[in-house]
Amino acid sequence: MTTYIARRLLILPVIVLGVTMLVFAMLSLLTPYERASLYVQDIPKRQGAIEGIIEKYGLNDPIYVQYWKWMVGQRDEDTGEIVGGVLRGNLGWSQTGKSSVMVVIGRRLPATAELALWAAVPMIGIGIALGVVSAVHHNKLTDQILRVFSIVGWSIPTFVFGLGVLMFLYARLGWFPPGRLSDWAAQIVQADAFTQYTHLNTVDALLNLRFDVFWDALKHLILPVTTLAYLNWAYLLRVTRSSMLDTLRQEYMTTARAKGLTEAMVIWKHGLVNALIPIITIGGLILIGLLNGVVITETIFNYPGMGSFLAQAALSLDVVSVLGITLFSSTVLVMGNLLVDVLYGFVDPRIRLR
Amino acid sequence: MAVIVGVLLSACAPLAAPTPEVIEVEVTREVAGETRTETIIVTATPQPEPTEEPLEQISPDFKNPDTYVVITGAGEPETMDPAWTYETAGGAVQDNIYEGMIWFNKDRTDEFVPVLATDWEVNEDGTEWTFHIREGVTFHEGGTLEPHDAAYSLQRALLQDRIDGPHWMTLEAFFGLYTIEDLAMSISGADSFEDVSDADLAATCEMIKEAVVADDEAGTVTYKLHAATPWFLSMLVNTFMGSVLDQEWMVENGAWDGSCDTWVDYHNPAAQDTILFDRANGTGPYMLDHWTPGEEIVLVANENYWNTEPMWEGGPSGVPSIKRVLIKNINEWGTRRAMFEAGDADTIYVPSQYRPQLEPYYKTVCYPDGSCEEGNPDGYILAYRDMPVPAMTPAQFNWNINVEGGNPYVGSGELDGNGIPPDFFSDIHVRKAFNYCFDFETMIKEALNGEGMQAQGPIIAGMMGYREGEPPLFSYDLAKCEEEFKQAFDGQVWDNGFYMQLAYNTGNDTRRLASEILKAGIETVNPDFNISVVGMPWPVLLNSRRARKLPIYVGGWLEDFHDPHNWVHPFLHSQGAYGRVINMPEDVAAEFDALIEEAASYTTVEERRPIYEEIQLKAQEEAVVIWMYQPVGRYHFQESIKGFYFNPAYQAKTYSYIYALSKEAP
Repeated sequence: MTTYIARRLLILPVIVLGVTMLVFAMLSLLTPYERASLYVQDIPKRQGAIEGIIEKYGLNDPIYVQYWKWMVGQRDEDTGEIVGGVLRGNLGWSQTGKSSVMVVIGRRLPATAELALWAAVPMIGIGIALGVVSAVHHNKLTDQILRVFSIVGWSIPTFVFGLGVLMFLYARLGWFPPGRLSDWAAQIVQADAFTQYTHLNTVDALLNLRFDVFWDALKHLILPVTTLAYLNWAYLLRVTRSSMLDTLRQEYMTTARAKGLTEAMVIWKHGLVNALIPIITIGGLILIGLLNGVVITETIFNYPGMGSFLAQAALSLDVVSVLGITLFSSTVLVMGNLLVDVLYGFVDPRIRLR
Repeated sequence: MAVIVGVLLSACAPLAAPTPEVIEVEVTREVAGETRTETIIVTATPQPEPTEEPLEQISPDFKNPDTYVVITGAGEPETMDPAWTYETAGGAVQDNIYEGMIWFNKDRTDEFVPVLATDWEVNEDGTEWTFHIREGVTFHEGGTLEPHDAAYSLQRALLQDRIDGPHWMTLEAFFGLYTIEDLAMSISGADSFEDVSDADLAATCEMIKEAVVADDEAGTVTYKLHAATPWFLSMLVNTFMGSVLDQEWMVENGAWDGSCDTWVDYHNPAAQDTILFDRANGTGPYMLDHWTPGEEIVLVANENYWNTEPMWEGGPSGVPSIKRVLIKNINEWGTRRAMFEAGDADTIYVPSQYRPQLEPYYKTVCYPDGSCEEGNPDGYILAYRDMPVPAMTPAQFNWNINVEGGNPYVGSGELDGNGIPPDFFSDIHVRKAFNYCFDFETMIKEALNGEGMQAQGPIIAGMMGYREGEPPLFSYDLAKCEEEFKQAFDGQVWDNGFYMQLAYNTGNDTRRLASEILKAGIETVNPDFNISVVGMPWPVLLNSRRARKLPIYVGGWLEDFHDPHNWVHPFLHSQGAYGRVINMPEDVAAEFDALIEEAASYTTVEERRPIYEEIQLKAQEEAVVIWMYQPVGRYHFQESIKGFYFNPAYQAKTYSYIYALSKEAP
């Protein structure tokens, strides 16, 4: 197991490097003029402006030179010092985020992580539970209702569902506002008296014993969490149901019943545990997806996470931002997959990782 | 789930189908030359009766009594440095933080009141402006305003001059050149800025210091211009030129120290490389609390604000009434609307296509003449409508298209029915035909929901040079369109037909509709005319435009300062932002250049007006482009917001001067 994990961790930089090289290679398809548009908000009013921008930002350099500069940095003509460079821990300046890429990630990641954490529990927990119930009541009314429920969730586009609940539960009833915090709560969080231990507002509010802020942060999470959960339940329900149906037909399930175990013990202990492998795979992928940001949900609920930022950066051809987030996302993906693989071993001892 | 699905479905519930009705009808018909009257039975399908759906009651709570919450869709500021800024999202925020010598006299665009100056004078030939600096003004960080602060601020701005920044206008006024690098090169005679010697760089800086001079003892600052610049005050009122900084504070914090030996180190910086990127220190009624890019900008009231007397009758004075300002940029319309309905936003950006959604909830509606009328008593919105916006959208022709290396936008590149030749738009009959084939009324009615007016030329309505009472030369007339096309290229256009692509930037639905309407008009007159409307991402459009490959595209212009020069120069001057890619022949371009420069050489309205009117007429007669439309704006507030007035020259109409606003419980 240790060897396996070490090997996977050693491969990580190679994968990340490969991904960034791929992104850079795709860049060569764009002209320097197209890339210069990132710095031009309107029809340029001064002649030669775009050419000046291309020169200033080195957009006309060969693609390998640009990649080298991005990786190792470049010499500042005035001071003679090397500035920037991923290998020196500098992911560059994000024109979209108006900050260094590291700062943007540092600012956006807690929001995304908080959303993912809160969404994971109802999404995976309820999704699996619904799948089990559906399988146990195979082809009965409960199963049919749950399947319709999941198909509806799967079919409704995120923006329709999101806007619907936003207009009804927020605009009409005033219950669950968009954003991360209300202005009054944001002022408390930004004040010196409030310590931001984790930058997860709900967690920090509890640690600071500000239950009013906790409730406000939670209210802001309810709609995006509900949206994410409902739209993903269908997927988990179907995978769990199918895996459970398989398991329920196994002979060891009959043996368990014959031993006199209660039906609940049979289903939840012997059945579910043996059906978990595909569920972990899907659940892991969904979680990794959440950590990398969810564009539409974040946009509708004005939630300042990684997804909306990445979409904005990509649309603006903000190469530095895209590369920085790509590095981050690739790392999360590899680590997430590794975690899932390790979990297999725990869930099913027959699987040995070497 | 049932509740949610119910909510979603109720939003799109169809009208109840009407019951078909069986009726007897008496008809007269002619059969074999004989007229008969018969009674027949028909099953009529009645039109659904318009049901007056009860308007849903919306009563936003009165929230945040001391805070003004602005939800824009205008994008993110580039920086908080006023000398760097050349976009409205940042400029409008800075309007509240920084002050200059003057400000607009309430809603007037051509009258100014003193702010950091007490008064001013100009010499006879209009080239030297002297401002007397107000005493007793302090900066947010505690420094005291002195004349050298004002001089330093503009000197820094001019020397900082960055690529694609706003100071091409300022430098033109001071030196008749467009960049500081051009000025340095003109002094040294070098071919490139990198070759300018240190001595000449210092001399360049000295020239700037001679042009902007402070006299601390006399309490004045003097601006010495290259030539009379009648729009000088209209430029000076803008943050990019007028904002006054505290020199001592700036130097302490690492900005340019005022030395002519070091200015190059601070020249042409990236946005994040100036010390004012994310902080501010002005004298204005609001102070920057923080800016979290992508999330929010927060301003707080300057409780030590110097102003004790209203700057105009009934104007604001004293400490700002609104204590805190929260500005958020939210791109999603549904989210903005939800926040407005919930009372969490005091004003929101409403694109024209969404305005009908809010219209039933107008409680009070105000108009450009200042009159207001009551709307729906159960509504909640204070709306200002039909406000003329200083923006214009033309369809830009390229008179000499670049086909080098191939050009997909012109098809075959020949007049063979499958393309157009590079000089297609150099024929005035083609240009006129395109103008006659554009349905201006439909455009304004359908694409702008009636909120716009046909443009008359480059100069917008209400501005000097606009030919009052004269209708635009072109209107939708397919017969004339056909007539002009038949004369174009000795009839070849009509006989052979053509194919071309018409571009607009993707995401701009209004421009897409304008393109579709133009296409429909032209394809109606001759089935052999084919236009393909192409939505282009901004980078692609910018690239193709720069390469002069686009035969025609729908663009737009928002003024930099409120003067006709800022309209005729960009569109028609051979060095203008649009003018230089129209590729007019030299003789036509020279005529426009001469007229524009002549108008700029005079200082009085009496002298300038007839020249601008001549330019306006000539721009139509030549059909330089299709002068499509000038939009009118609408602004929406909660009923609790008081004190708004409309000034078209404000960078953001609803939050450029929050000092004038107050918030009261309804």
